[in-house]
Amino acid sequence: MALKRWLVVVALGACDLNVTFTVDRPIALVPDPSWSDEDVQSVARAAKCWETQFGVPFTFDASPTDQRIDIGFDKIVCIGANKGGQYSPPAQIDLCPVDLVQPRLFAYFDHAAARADIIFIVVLHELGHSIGILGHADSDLAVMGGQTALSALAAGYTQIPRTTAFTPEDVALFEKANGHRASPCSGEAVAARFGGEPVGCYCAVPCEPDVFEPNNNRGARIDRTGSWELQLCNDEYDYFSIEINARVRVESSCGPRVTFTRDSARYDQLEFDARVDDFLMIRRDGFGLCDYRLVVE
Amino acid sequence: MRGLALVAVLWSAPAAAEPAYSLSADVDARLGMSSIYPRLVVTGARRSWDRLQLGVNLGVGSSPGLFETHQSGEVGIWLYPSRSIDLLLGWRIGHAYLYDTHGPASLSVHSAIVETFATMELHLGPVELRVTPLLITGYRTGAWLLLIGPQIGVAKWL
Repeated sequence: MALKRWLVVVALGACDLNVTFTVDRPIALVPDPSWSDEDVQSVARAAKCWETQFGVPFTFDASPTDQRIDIGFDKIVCIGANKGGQYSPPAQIDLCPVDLVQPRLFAYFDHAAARADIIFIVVLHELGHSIGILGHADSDLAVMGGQTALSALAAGYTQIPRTTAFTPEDVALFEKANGHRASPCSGEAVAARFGGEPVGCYCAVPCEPDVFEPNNNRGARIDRTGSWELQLCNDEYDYFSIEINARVRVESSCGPRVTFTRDSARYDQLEFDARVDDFLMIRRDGFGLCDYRLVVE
Repeated sequence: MRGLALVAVLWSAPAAAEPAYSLSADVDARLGMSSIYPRLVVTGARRSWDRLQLGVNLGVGSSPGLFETHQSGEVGIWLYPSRSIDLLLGWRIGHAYLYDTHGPASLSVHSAIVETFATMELHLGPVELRVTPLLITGYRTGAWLLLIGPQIGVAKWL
């Protein structure tokens, strides 16, 4: 088996030995000391994905563990087509420098968080190799495949700014290498992007649909004053058609985006004087339990 | 134990009376990146005491998107499993220059190159046929780029 693993690693051009890490003990991630805090945070986001989905104990504290992976940039990793990074057993992940890999593989990343998302996506994939996934997924959508789902999410190509973090094929590859591990996430592990922030993984909390706006694609009618406690956790959008003249206010601690439409013109504001036939859409960026209050007075 | 016995037999086999200097040319295919990458390698070498091989290599390779040149020194041990086949176990170390133009951002890398190989030399008359089933090449900067592949060529003992 060791020989087989070694040959697979060689065939992948990954590197030289047959060592990967056990997920039963902490695995320390040690970015090069020259890395910026922002780049280190991208590694942390990638580690959190594996932790959220599979409970892999990645850590940035190398002192209590004998498992350590050094992470750095090295442009020899860029040699060849379609290469963004490389896991080299026993303990090294090297990334193609962002200024080289971006025009080669992520030319469509022109958003503010492009650098952070590139490091996140490449490290996320290489961490998979480090914990025993020596092959690749057939699906381009998978983390251990072409990662097109995450790339589309990062680039803002997705209408809904979240996606399942790992595909069933990723899960199968992980379980083949490490056995089944229960997710510490009680809900669904998802990758999401909040506004212009970099992509990260989160544990989406399930909740019950609202009664007032049950997401039946018809929208709720606001024909009286009052206030309603609503949620944006199991859905992305809440719609309201306004049938009275009133002052409308959206109160929330989680910052949903509010789009208020009148005569085909759109306004983004949390409070406005509504008139009959106005239209209101409230949407979340990303995912998660987001409570808000709709006040009509 | 069986392996040690085999090495002992090979080592003790009578050495062929070959001239001391050779010139060889080999072609190989490097695998491990996304495409096959061919190289031509020229080697000048001296064999001492019928056992020790010392040589120098010059190589050049190219494929769409990639160019390589390297210079390396070679050391090896000759074994003689039969009258018609000589076996060279060797290692090379040197310098490589890689120039990659995949995509819009080109890059060049200077690296160390390390190779290990086992070459069979078959006596064909005026020249020898050299067959290396598996040549392992490592390019080393801070990280390794590891490629593998077969190599075939001819050698002329001078």
